[in-house]
Amino acid sequence: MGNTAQNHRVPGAKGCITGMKYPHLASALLAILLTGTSLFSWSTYASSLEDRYIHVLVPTLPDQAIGGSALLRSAFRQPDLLPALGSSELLQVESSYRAIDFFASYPTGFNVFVVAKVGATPLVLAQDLAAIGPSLRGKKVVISLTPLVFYHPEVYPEDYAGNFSRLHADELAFSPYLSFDLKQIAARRMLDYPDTLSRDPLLRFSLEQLAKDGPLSRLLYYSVLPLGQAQTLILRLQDQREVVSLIGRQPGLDPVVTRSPANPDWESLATQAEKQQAPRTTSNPYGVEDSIWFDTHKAWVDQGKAPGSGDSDYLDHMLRTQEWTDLNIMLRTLKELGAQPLILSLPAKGPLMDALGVSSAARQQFYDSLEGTVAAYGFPLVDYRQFDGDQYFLIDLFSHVSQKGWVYVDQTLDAFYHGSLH
Amino acid sequence: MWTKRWMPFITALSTDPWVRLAALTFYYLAIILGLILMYGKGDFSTPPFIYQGF
Repeated sequence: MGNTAQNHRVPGAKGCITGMKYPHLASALLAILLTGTSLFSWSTYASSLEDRYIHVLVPTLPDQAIGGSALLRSAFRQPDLLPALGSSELLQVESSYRAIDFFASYPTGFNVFVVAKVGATPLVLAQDLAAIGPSLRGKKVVISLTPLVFYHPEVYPEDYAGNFSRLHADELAFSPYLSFDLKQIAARRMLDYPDTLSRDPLLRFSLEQLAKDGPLSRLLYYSVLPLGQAQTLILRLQDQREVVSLIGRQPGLDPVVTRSPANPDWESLATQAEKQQAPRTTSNPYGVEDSIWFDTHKAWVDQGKAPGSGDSDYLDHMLRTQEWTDLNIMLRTLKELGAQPLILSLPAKGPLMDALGVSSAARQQFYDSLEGTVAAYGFPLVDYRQFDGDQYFLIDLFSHVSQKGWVYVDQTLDAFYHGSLH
Repeated sequence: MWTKRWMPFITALSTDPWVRLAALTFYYLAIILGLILMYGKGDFSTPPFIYQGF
C-alpha cells in the first residue's frame, strides 16, 4: 500500500480526463449534472401527466391549484380551458348555472378552470399570476373581483395568510419577467404581512431589500436572486410532485371528459333562473336568500339606518383602502406578463345597501374608480353596474351570485372566450 | 477470509481512476437522493381561517 498520495496520483492525460486531480469536484459536478437531467426529465413527464388529466381534474377544484401553479400552468396550455381566478364569488351558490357546473360539459366548446378561495384579494391574485410567468403571454384569463374587498382599509392578515402561497410569493419576488419597480411595490405590500414570511428567511430578506430604495439593497437583492430562483425551482418541482401524487391516488381516473355541445338561449335561461331564485328570498324585499337573511342581514337592516347616513364612512374606506394599490399591482403584473385578461367585477346589492345607509351615488363612485383604474391598463371590464338595483342578481351583501346572476356571468365568460365580448 | 479473498480486487479497483470517479459519483448521488427524500415533499398548506370580510 505504502504512500497514499502516490496511490492517488494518476499520471498524464488520464488524470485530466477522469478528473482525478480533483476527484471529488468532478464527481460532485457529475452527480449534479445527472440529478439535473433526471429532474428535468421527470418534470417533463409530470407536465405531460398534468396535461393529460387536467380536464378531468377541473371539476374537482383541487386544493393544489390554489397553493401550487402546475395545474394552472397546464390549464393555460389547453385551448379549451378558460382560467378564472378570484374569490368565493366564483364558488358560491351550487346550482346548474354556476360557471363550473354550467360549462362542465363544454356546451360551447370550453370549460372554466376556477382557481378561487374565500378571501383571495388582488395582492394574492397578483402572486398567483406571477407564478404563471411567461406562460401567460397572449393567454385569456378572467379575474373576478368583489366590491366588498374595497370597503375595508386592507385585507385582514388572517385572510391573507389563509390564501398565501410560498411558491407564488417566491415566483413574484424572484421573477425575471417582472420589472424591478413592480416587484418593489409588491414587496412593500407583502411585508405588511410578516407572519407569512416567517417560514422563508430568503424570501423575507429579498423582499426587504426590494422594498428599500438604495444601491446597496439592490446589490444585495441581485446577489441572492440566483439562490431565490433555485429555491423557486425546488418549490415548483415539489408542486409537480404533489400533482403527480394527486393523480396517482386516483388509479381509475379516466382522462376523457364528456362533451355535450349546446346553444344556450341566455334570455330564457335568465328568466328561468329568476323564477327559481325568487322563492328562495320570500322573507325580505331585498332578494337576500332566506337563510342568510335570518342569519345576519336582518339584524343589520333592523338597525334602521337613514338614507345616505353611511356614505361618509363608505367613501372614506373605499377611497383610502390599500386594495387600490394591490389592484394596480395585479393589473401591472398582467400587463408585464402580456396576458389578455377580462376583469369581472360583481355589483353591489343596491337595495340592501340603500337600507344600510349607503346611497346609489356613493356606490357609483366605486364603479367609476374601478373603471378608471382598469381603463388605465387598457383591459376590458365588466362590472354589471346595471344590476346594482336588481333584486335577484345577488344572494347577499357580499356579491355572491344568484342563479340568475350566474346566467349573466356565464354569458360574459362565453362571449369573452369566443372573442365576442363588446 | 472474505477480506483476504476480495481485498486485492477491491484495492485494484480503488486505484483505477474510473472506478473511483464512479464510486464518488454514486456517493454524491446518494447524498442528493437523500436530500430529495427528506425535503422533496413540499408543504402547500395554508393556515385555516374564518373569513373576516363579512
